[in-house]
Amino acid sequence: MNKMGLILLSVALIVLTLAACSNNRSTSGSGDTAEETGLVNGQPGTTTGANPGEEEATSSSGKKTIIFSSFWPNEQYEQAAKAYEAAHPDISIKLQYGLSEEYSDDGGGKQTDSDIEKFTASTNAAMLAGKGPDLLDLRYLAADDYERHHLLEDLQSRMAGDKTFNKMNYFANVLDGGNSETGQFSLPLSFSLSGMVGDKAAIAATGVKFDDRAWTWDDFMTTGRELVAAKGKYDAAVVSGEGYQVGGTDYFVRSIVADNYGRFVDETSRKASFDSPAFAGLLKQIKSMYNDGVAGSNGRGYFINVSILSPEDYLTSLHAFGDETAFYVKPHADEEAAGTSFETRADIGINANSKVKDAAWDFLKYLMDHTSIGLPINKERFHDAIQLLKEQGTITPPSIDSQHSKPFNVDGAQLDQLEGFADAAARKRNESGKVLDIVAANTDAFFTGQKSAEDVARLIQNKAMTVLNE
Amino acid sequence: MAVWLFLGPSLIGFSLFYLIPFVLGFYESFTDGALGGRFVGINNYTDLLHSASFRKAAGNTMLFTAIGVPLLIGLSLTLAVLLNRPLFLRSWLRTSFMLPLVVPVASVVTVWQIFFDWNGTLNAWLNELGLARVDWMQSNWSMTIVVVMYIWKNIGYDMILLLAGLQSIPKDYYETASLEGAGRFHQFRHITLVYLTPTMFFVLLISIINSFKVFRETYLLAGDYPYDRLYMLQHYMNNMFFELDVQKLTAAATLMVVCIVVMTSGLLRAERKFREYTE
Repeated sequence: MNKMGLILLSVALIVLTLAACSNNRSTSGSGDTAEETGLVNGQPGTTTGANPGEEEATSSSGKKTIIFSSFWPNEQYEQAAKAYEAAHPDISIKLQYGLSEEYSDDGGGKQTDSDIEKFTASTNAAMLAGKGPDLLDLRYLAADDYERHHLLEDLQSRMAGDKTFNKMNYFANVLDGGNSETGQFSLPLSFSLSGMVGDKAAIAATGVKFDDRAWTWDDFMTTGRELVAAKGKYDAAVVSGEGYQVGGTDYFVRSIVADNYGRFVDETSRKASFDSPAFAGLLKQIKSMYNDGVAGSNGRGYFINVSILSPEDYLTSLHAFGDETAFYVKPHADEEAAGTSFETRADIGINANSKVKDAAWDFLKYLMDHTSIGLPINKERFHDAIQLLKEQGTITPPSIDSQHSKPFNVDGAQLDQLEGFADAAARKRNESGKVLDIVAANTDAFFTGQKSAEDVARLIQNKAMTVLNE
Repeated sequence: MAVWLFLGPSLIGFSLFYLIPFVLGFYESFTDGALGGRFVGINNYTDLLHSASFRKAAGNTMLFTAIGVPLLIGLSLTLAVLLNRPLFLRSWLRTSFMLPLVVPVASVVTVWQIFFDWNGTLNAWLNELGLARVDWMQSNWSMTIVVVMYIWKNIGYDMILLLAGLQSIPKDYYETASLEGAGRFHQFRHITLVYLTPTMFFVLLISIINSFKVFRETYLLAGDYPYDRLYMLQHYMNNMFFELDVQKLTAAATLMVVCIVVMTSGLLRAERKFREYTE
């Protein structure tokens, strides 16, 4: 009898724990299944009648559903999806966004950070499990890791095998920028150009001559010294940082190493060569830029580093830094091709485990031809964007610090040059990555004069090799 | 029957949160690609062993245990023996050695960081003494610092365990021995150490396991890519996790578990042998 009671009691206890367990699981489950709850469906009215529960690639009516995921809601994606659906009645496109509420400048930052975290975690988990969206905007996602684990479709063979895809319609260098030995796993819808805005009038006044289309960093240093020696309008040739944002001493290291990444890191054989004299030399060269006054750490110089995000942004940047300014190509390393350096934006990849890869590829092509985000990859769209701006006539720059800005006239001649810079796009910048972070974090001790260039180089080599050998 | 019912809850919890995930991970370590990939045999293990960073991490972890554990046990035994006799402020001293155990690591790490930084307190002192400063965290010294931190953190706990062991040794053994004319050292070697051995096994085991846990301090102190001398197995696993490399992660975890199991079962066997021998 007593024993019976004991058994009953323990059974009750187990049931209780199990219930607690399962209960616990269902509440914490909301974090695990953030894939569904964390993502907000694109406006239900604009997407098709596909109800949220319907996850199958093909529904009963034989309609194919492409799930397209992006962190930031994008008007252009919505429009393209709607137009594509209208043209292809057998396809429906479902947009998923990572952002849970509308972005606002005040206090929205925290929410956005946690949304990004949720978005990457849930997308990573879904992708690893062989599920996930069919089409992905790779912003914030670890595209390299996806690529390494064969989670993204190789678009190289898609492009080669598709007769309707004509590379000539796009800025070819930018398109090939994501090309690696193993293939190409994402295509950009847009790109940005990085270069410098220079005060043309002030430079002309000093009488210093240079060819920005072909200059190397060495040429730039020489030019910089000449500019400084001419004692013209400015003290420094260039100020570290980008646009109005003044950067620290690590700005140039990061920027130059990013431009010369292949020189110091061999990704295929997983070897770094930061302990080479070349790297210590580069560090010393950058330091001498500061010492000689070629690079300033505050105020203004003849040149300002900028990233051009759109035709409008191009004119606004030129306008913002003086009346008579011009866009100059960034210097490059000796052994690299001369040309404008660029970064791809709105990179889209196709999930290798998607069941509707063909449809997704077709839609991706459609996106490339029918969206106009920033500087569009499609040459025709690029031209349209410039034409549109010319017709518009004036630009009202965004206000900075509640300071009201006056509209200014569009300069058609300057705009026409932009296309030339885009055509000359040659070098893809890769500003992200652990090795670059390590480089930027460890060079400070050298620039403040606390360690020798060789010591810093050795330390960077030590850590970079750990990363590369993993 | 009743035994199982009582064991049930803890068994279920253990399986749900430890055993089943580990078995799943063990299976994953033999597959390729994403979750639920093809079976590839020991490929992941050969890849893992080819990774120079993994070998370095394993070497560092072993080196750390080999240096840290003997030092820790030696020091805590000394302390325990000292505090086992009447001493001025004895109970206060005992408490103070226990303090590091209750202080949250994160709060202490900041102080350590400031202390050992290139521009930190210690280097300022060295400078005042006219000595060249040392980059403590970015050189081979970094391992020493983590060893010190590990000892500081664990010495109180080990000391308490050893004190309990010391007090369970009957006093008359010492009295008899001193009557027979045995000196202090002789008593220590033939009574204290012998009767402390079972406690010692336990302390050794706990210290080894704790030495594997030093990752938390290291990570807080030096981040995910510290100087290579500090790069531990868990750094490797942590970084693999963030790179979505489930294969290498699970293979590394399996190898580590195998090592720990071999080591602990060896220790437990030795303890059993010792007990049979003394009885």
